[in-house]
Amino acid sequence: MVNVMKKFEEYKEEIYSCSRCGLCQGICPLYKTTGLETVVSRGQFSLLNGILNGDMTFNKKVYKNLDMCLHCDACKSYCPSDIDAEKIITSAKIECYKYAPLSKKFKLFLLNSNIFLKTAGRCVDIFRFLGLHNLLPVFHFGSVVKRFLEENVRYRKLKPARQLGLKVFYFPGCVNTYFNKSILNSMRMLAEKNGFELVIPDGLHCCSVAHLSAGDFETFYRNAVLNLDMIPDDVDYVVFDCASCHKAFELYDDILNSKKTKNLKDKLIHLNNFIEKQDIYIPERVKFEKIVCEHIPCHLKDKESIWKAVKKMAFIDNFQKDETNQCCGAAGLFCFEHGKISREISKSKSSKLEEKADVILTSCSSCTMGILQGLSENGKHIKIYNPVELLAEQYIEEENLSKQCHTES
Amino acid sequence: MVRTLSSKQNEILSKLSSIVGKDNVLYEKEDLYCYSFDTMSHGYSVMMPDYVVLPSDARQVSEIVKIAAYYKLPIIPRGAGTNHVGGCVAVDGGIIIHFSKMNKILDIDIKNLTCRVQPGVILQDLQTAVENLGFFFPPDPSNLKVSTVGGALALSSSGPRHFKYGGMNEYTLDLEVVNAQGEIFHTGMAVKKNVSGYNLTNLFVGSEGTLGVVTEATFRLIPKPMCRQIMLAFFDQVERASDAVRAVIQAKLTPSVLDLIDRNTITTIEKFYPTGVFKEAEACLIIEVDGSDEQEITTQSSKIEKVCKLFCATDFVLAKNKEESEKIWFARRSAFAAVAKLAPDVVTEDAVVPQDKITDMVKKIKELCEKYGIMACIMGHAGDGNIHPNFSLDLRDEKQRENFEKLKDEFFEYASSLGGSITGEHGIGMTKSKYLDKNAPVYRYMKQIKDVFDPENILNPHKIW
Repeated sequence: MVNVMKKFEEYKEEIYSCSRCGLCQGICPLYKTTGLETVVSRGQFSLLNGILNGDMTFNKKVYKNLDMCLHCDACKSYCPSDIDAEKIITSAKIECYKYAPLSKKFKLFLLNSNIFLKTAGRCVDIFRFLGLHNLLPVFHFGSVVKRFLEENVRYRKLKPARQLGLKVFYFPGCVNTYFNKSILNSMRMLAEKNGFELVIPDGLHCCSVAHLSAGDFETFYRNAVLNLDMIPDDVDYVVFDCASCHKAFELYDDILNSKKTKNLKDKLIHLNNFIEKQDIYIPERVKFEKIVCEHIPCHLKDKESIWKAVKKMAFIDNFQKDETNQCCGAAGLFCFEHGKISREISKSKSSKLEEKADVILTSCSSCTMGILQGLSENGKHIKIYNPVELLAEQYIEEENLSKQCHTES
Repeated sequence: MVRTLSSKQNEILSKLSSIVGKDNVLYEKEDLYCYSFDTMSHGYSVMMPDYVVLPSDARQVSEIVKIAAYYKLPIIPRGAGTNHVGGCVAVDGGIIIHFSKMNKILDIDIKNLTCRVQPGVILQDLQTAVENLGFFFPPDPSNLKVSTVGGALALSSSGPRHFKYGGMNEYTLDLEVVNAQGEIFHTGMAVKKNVSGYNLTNLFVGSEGTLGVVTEATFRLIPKPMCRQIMLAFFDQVERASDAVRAVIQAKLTPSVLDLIDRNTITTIEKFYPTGVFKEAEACLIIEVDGSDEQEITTQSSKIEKVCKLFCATDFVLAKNKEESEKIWFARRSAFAAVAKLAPDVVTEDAVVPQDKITDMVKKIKELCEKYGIMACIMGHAGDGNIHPNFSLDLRDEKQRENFEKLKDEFFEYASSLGGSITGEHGIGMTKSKYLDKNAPVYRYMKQIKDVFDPENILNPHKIW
């Protein structure tokens, strides 16, 4: 295994250069919720300094402390010394992954098992078919899961409006592949409407951003190789609807630095930017009059990409930007491991959104879970869309309108 | 690594847990290590407490202090841990009381222009809350985005606005305090004037947690100035900038900010945060005026411009709009961040000299830096004669560490020889204790006061004393 990522020890100078000014406390969602110095970058750097000086060694408790990080990257932009805490903490977790709790390792194992995900997905389909998912709210967290499984858009064959003639590899991620087909449906409709070929091979693996954040480098590396192998060389773009999956693929180049990753580097694109940059058909005869607010995922590379996509989707009348830059609190597995803290953070973020939103737009499966969790805590029911779902929904709406007019005339 | 506790330590742990709940007591080495520092740069030295507790009210604090008193354990109050003098590190172990969960604004009384807050409230949050109601709480230490009311009270903090508005002591009406025996009492009253005996409130403000633990504070508020204007004046000599400051004061002008930065600071800010705001100069004055109407602001600004030009300002820039003002403030506030990028450690020092001695002090700092081979970017609240050299160095290097100690000794000795003070807003903490002449009558009296409130010396020991 060739790893070109920096090792923990190589961050020694950066860790020491933390001036301990404490500004990271002002932005860290976990510090704001727990009030603990142990969760904020400054405290974690202090601990890591202790390991580098030999005052202590990696152990279960060190791993547990390092695991109290949402990997939201917020502290990086706030740090006067420009220290990339997320990278440093990840590198330390890779060093001490062997001390991760078994329960965490088990969850990561399940996430990496296509057999498990496929079976779970089938069960969800059967539940949905029998209407049993309506019973979910009986259980704690059940109402969040129920809403997470609700599909915004059903597939419908659409009349083509453009001929872009592109070959696009789409990485749907685990949620869209197995549990909620709404975004996948929308993506198919987008391709058909705009005349581009969509490549979605069977058997793609988890992007493994969750594995990397947990320090399970081996799985991340293995899945990077497997996923990259499935991308044909002649594709024009590799598109992601989820910010975290996109981030994982960007990191594949950091760890592999291969001819393939170099070749793909300029082809990796988030769906929002794809919609913005391509000559995508935008329905003109429809209007979406609800107030649309965005939640910017922490992992979204181009933080303005939702806004850029919306700007192009002229049917959206009232769009409100996310000025908070606040994490949704879900952070992959974090919400399953530290439920109470995660819910607190989600609640705080959602309260800001629900003040004005009729509909929330976001671009990450985990964020959808986070916002739903917060809305559920606050007893609110607001629909969450990926921009492509809104676009597909308006394609359908426009065709319905056309049919109506046709029938009337 | 699970810390092995003795039976006595277990007993203390279980008592602390019964007060604040086990989730609010930290005792494992991996957790305590994260509390072994504050913003004071100290290379690799580590000072760990025995326990960290996170109380949620005064009663809990009182119970914690009673336990500490019984076992004779040090009590170290901690807000955001952003002080520069080691004020909240545990030199001899003990219990750190972290106030991050006592962070509520309890009341803003708009009828009486007062507010009542817990010590963990972040200064900026308080300022935003009162400003939204049209009022003003001026103390503005540079790290107010994260620093807490409790920390600011402990050090009697202030910032650029001190020149016009004063610091924490001028706004504190009453404190709820837990003394070394765990008794809760009030030092004053929530009224604007009060001379009913000694002013214990002002005694506690700036006492660095050595006399008692503050659990609530009542501040007075003032009306919010409606208009502001920021301007920059550049000079080819520090002396000219300093003379201009004196002339502004003598012209009976009262800017809300009257700060000075030197060439090194200008260059460093423009290197790391290029905004084009700062021009090539030996010194730059950052001046802001505020007031109730535009007319007042314009009059003051033009008078200041005249004074600066009279003292040979090479350039004078008046922000034309909000964007330009924000750009200047962004550049000014980036100063620490920029300096932090120069070397692994940055140490911000603090001394106050009579206003007419600023030039001498700046010259001395430059001379010392040359002598000991250490770089400094000098900033200061020139209106108050408060100088902050930011030294860039690597404290892991023994030679640099030794040289820096010598430099500091000479720096503070010189400030004192000019009739100045070794600190204007950072406090004494553990790093400046050695510079106090504890045999001088004033410190003998202070020590007697300390003994009255804390005879067993459990309240933040090794700080000041």
